[in-house]
Amino acid sequence: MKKIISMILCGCLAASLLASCGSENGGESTGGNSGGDAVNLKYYFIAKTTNTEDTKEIQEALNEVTKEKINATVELHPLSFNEYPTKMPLMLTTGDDLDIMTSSNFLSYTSVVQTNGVLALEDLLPEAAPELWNMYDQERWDAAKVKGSIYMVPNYDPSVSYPGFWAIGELTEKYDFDWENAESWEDWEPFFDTILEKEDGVTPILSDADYWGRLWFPGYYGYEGVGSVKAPKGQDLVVVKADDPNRKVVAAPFTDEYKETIELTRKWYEKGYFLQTPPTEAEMMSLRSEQKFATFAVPFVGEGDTTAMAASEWGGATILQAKIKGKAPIITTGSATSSGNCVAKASKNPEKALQFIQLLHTDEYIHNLLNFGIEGKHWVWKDEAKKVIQYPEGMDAETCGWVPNTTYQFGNKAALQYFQTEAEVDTSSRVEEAMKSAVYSELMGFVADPEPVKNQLAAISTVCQEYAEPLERGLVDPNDPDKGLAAFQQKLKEAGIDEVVAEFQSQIDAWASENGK
Amino acid sequence: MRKTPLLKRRENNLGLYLMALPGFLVLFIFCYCPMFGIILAFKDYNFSDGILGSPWVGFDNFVFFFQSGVAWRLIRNTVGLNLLFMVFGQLMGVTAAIFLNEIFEKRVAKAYQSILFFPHFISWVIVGYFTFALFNGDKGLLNNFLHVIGMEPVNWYGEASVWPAIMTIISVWKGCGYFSIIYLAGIVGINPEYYEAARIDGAKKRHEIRYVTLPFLKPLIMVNVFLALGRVFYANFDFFVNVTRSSGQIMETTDVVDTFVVRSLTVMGDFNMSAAVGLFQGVCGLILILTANMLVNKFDKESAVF
Repeated sequence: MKKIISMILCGCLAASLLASCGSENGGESTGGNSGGDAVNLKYYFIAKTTNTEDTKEIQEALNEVTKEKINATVELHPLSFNEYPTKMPLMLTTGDDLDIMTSSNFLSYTSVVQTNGVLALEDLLPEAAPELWNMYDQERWDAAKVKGSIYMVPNYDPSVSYPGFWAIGELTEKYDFDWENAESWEDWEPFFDTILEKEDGVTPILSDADYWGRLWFPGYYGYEGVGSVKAPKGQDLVVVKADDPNRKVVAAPFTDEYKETIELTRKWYEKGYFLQTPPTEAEMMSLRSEQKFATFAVPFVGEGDTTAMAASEWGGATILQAKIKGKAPIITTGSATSSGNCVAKASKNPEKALQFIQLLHTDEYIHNLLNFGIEGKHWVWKDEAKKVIQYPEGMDAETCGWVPNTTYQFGNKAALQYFQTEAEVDTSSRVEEAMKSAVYSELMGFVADPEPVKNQLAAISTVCQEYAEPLERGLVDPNDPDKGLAAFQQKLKEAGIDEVVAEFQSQIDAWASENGK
Repeated sequence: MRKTPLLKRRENNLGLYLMALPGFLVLFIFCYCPMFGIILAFKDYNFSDGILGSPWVGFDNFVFFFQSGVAWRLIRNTVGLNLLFMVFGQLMGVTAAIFLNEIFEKRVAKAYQSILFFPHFISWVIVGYFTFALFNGDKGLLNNFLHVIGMEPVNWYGEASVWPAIMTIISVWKGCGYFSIIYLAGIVGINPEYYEAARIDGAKKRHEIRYVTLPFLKPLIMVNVFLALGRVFYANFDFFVNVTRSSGQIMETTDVVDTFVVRSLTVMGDFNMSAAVGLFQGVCGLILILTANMLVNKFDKESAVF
């Protein structure tokens, strides 16, 4: 008897094992409600909050329009900020079933192209989406070329950013600090000293162990990154002075600016401006919402309005966008290809996919539906004439079921997008103004190919983790013989930084002569 | 038993075979089926050509690992730390099992056992936070303590030399309960008559342990050691990432093959390179097991696993 029971149990176990394997494939394909011969497109993008219910509703609303306009349905696949950069490259490399995906700072254009999983669009674009093709200047399309092919429809999202801090307004006011006229980093020192002295448990500059809180950012000194060569969590390593007509490639850690910055960082670290052991990003976020800090160093202090961000992420503090006045605004190739939509090689209907992307750039309703959701449910008009929207009564960023919080992702932001606050209406004209005075990079339109030096890059990423991370956070003395700057430079040379620089230099030179620059 | 015909024996054990079936299936699906993927290590894979169609590149994918300049350090750290974990883990497991077995009050023994076993269920992420709570430079418990007794605080996440010890302690703390249960089961299975005989011959407790318990546990220890040896080139990625917080300053002693691979390949996104390192780790593990078994065969044939 016992034996029979055990056999039945085993059988069940084996069966359930097999069943659970099988069911996973079953669920996937039934998503879209493709009626008639409308094709189904799978669209992957990043989003902060998207409830399943709300996603479904928005998908239905979207499909009503797309079915009529391009005879296609679109399946929405929002992924979180953490998931996206790890999941998408895998899906692209393995040829997983998807049609359209977005590229942005969280998953750069270069890395998307590197997966070999996205389609070259230059032949298809004029045929399948002529309106889109003619909408933008040839220069913008050229800027998106990698080795002669266009792999992405870039979004139009003009922005200018400055080095500086996001500072808590309540604190600068309390200690009467004139943040608007700070010319240099050092001008902030008296304020930080006061904070250390008078505010218990408040760190002057919030940092974490990942990306945030460094004073070193190549863009601050007019440098532009080449080929996405980065320390694993850090900044561009191989750079060109954006306004250098000779386009001379250098490795950032060998520049004087780098040395000065890490020395300043060290000085500030020793004074106690940073946390002694950098927290993780999640811990940093919680410190941030508790306002246990005075400033947050960011490479993209801009013109935008911070009220919405402050309410959702900063515990409601007043966030000042404090520029370092002595430094020029930053505009790089990055901003020409900083975000956009790509069509996957695996797509069975690339023409339809392009037509959907065209809608993102031309259709006001679709563009805003993806950004803000359904009118009346996720947003209401605050001022319809000025196109300013707000959350419906009793709803905010926390409770709304559709807050992608990625306004740059869905096509033509500049022309189509509604404003979230009154202040943004003026901002957009100020951005246009600032664009005129910004320094344009000599590299606009160049995208490097790191393939020939990938062995060196693998080695360099370890060197950076070991040396650049502590140096850029002030954790070690730059003059330390074993762990300091000299040792870092030496290790970089051993890892083959010179070959990387030479390779990119030759790629840039070839590109420049090809394009008659 | 030997005399029963094979078929008959099969019939008798059908239930047992069925019980093993799910395990075999899992092993087959997850260990044998993907083995085909090894060829990726020698290819330049792109999905439009498929796995078979992609061009062969020989040993190109292995170059990055050995050219990195840190290959030796990675291997030293991986193997060294894993050996430390293995030796101390087994040692503490056996010791704990023997102690647990000596507790007469069964309820107390069960309580101790549960307490020892508990860390096994804690996720490495949480363990990483425990470690951070102890060692961080700002509000860490250890630094607070040092401050109270009037000593200088230490930047623990910057002191490479102390980390092998810290990691061994954590590994033992987390794994000890698991091994102690395996060994306890082994001890419980020993026929009490051996102990009685030993006691009649005048053996003390330590003699019993030395001459009865340990010899009976030896095969079990051997199996565990061999299992650990096979994985000595693979570091537990969760452990290393969460506990060291990928701190650059302690990489001299905590950077291991797996963390290196992930770091390099998140930059490059190259599957072939990670397949190459995976193959390298597997082959090294295999060689290690074969050599160890050969040596055991030579000196102590009875204890050899195969």
